[in-house]
Amino acid sequence: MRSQYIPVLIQLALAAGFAGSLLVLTHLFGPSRPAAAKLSPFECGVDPVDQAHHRFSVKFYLVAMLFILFDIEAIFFYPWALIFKGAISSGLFLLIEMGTFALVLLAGFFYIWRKGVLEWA
Amino acid sequence: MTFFPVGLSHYLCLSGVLFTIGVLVVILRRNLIVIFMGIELMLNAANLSIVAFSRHLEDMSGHVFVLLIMTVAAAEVAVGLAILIALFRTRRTINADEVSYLRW
Amino acid sequence: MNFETAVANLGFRDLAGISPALNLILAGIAILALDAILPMRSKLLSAWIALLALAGSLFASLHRLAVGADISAFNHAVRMDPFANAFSAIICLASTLAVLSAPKYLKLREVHLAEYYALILFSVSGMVLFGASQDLLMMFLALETMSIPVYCLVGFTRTNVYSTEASMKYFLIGAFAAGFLVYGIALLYGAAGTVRIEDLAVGLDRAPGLFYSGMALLLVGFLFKIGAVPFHMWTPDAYEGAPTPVTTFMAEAVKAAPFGGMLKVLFVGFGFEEAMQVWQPVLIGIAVLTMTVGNLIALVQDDVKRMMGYSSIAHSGYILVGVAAAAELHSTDALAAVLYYLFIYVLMNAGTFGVLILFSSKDKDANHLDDLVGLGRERPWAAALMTVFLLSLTGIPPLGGFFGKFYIFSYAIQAGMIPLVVIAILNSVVSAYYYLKVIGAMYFREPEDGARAVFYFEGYSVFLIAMLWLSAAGVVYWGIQSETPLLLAEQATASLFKPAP
Repeated sequence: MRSQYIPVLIQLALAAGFAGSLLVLTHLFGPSRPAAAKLSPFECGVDPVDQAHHRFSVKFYLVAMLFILFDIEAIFFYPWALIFKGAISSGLFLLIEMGTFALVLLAGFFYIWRKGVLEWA
Repeated sequence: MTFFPVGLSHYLCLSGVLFTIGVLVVILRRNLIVIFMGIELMLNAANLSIVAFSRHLEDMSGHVFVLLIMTVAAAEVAVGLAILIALFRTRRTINADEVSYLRW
Repeated sequence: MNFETAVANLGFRDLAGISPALNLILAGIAILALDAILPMRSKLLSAWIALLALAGSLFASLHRLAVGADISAFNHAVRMDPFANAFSAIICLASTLAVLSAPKYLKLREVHLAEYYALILFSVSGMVLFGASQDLLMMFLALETMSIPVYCLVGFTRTNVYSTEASMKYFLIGAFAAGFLVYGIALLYGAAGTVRIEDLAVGLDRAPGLFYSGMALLLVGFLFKIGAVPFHMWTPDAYEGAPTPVTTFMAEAVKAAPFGGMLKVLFVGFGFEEAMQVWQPVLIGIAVLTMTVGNLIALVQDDVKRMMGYSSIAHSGYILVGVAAAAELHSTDALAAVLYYLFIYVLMNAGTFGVLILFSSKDKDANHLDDLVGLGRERPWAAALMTVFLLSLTGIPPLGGFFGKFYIFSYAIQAGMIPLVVIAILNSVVSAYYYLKVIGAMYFREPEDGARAVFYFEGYSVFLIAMLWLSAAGVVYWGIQSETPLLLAEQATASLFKPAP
């Protein structure tokens, strides 16, 4: 039992050792030329305008909520798809059931769309 | 040093610990968002033990339970966030101690 | 049973089996779609759609109850037996009354939205399935379907600080309770290897430790939902903060529905000798606590809505007395008394809140005792109706509330629980004080500044008037004629122990 895990341990030790030694080596031998630009969060040339610790617009929450709901509902398609082939004898009923499920989701989507939830402005 | 095979009892212990942490978070923390997380932790602890039992009992239906519970948890948290936003708009705070107009 | 056979068993007859719930869901979706297409005209139309759907489900349930239909659906996950149909009928009646009370109040508060009716319908569909669930998972899903819309409804006046706060508190405690419930289900699944309520008993021999911990967690979840002490803290806050029509809905439908699933789990799931010895004494202790704490705190309330919150806690206690007696007697007839009590409780609560809504104006709810001073002189009919409901809540014969308590207490005496009954009757006497306080404010107190109190029917609503008279007629008629509903209830509870078809 134990011997099975030894390669994993060796792998872990190697990875940690490699990463650690790289850090130490660059610190010891690398050239050090500090500059203001190197301290900025993005070194792409654009100056950050502000801190990132702002209060986000509440619209992000709304979109996140809707995303979670519709995203999670999609989970039900997966077991259904796995079963469908095996239970082809009652296939029509299954198809109608899943169609109904999708329709209910669509009704929800239609509702939030018409209510203007998806408009950002 | 010996490696133990991970079995049902390990999952159950972990799930019990997670559930307890969740309950403690709900009771002790004051930030409403953190309290939500505690509730989610409780539900996920239950999910973990259901999956563990499902494997132990070799009964596939446990997997389906977990899917359903996850969906319900998502719906619940979405509603919770919506209520939180409404609360914040009227009260400008999400600290549970400051939300106390209603008492006795 | 493997998945293939389980899937092959499904068919349209399953959908027909749950038609009382399905009908409500479809109506709810129709209301939302209508609101999305015709946002201007959908309000009153939605109320009518909701009423029609609820009436349809009510009559379907009553019809099934009358012919004694017993239908299993979805591989025995749902069973619409007379027990489930009786609960479904009580809940649909309660929700009809709640919907009738809504349009006036919501219009005055400028939140008359179609979503209100859709949310009520979704919640009721969950309640209908809750009493019909045959496995714990279905029960959990139904419970959440029932609870989540109610969280939204409590916060429906979303710019009101009290409403949003009540909604948040109710949500947190509800979700917390759901956490316990799911964990309990997980442990019971592990113990029994199944979540079918009928087969849970297996778990007692296989893994008693797991079984008892699961049972305890599940019970905690249920006690939260029915608002039993020490899990009652949310009730007064949610009742006071919610818009009054929502309080009406919560005090009747949301109150009655959890008992359906709870009775099923307690009696069918754990209802065998050994486990009963564990849960029944616990339940008796909780019943005593619930009655006493609820009534004592209600004594000092000046806000009628909050007082009714504590009163509803106390009534949970009376109902638990009935449940404990039924367990002791091994009698489904004693459970029928519980069902009858719930039925009457729905009517008298609906009426009480209805009168409060009647005198709520655009700016202000008439919730405080002082708001009702002089009502007896100015609006004799409304005051008379309120008096009927309050006397019934106190338990004065020949009103329904009296017979509800009478049946429950006499079964408890049969079961030899004399001390429990004495405590319960003492509690009823205490409760008379605060119910009569309201009647006293209406008839015997003068406004302090000597001016005549003015009561406007602001936003007069035929729906609301109909709701008040219906509830009052029900409380009086089904009180005097208590045998008929009781007989139906006895048929219903008898089906609880019959094997599923």
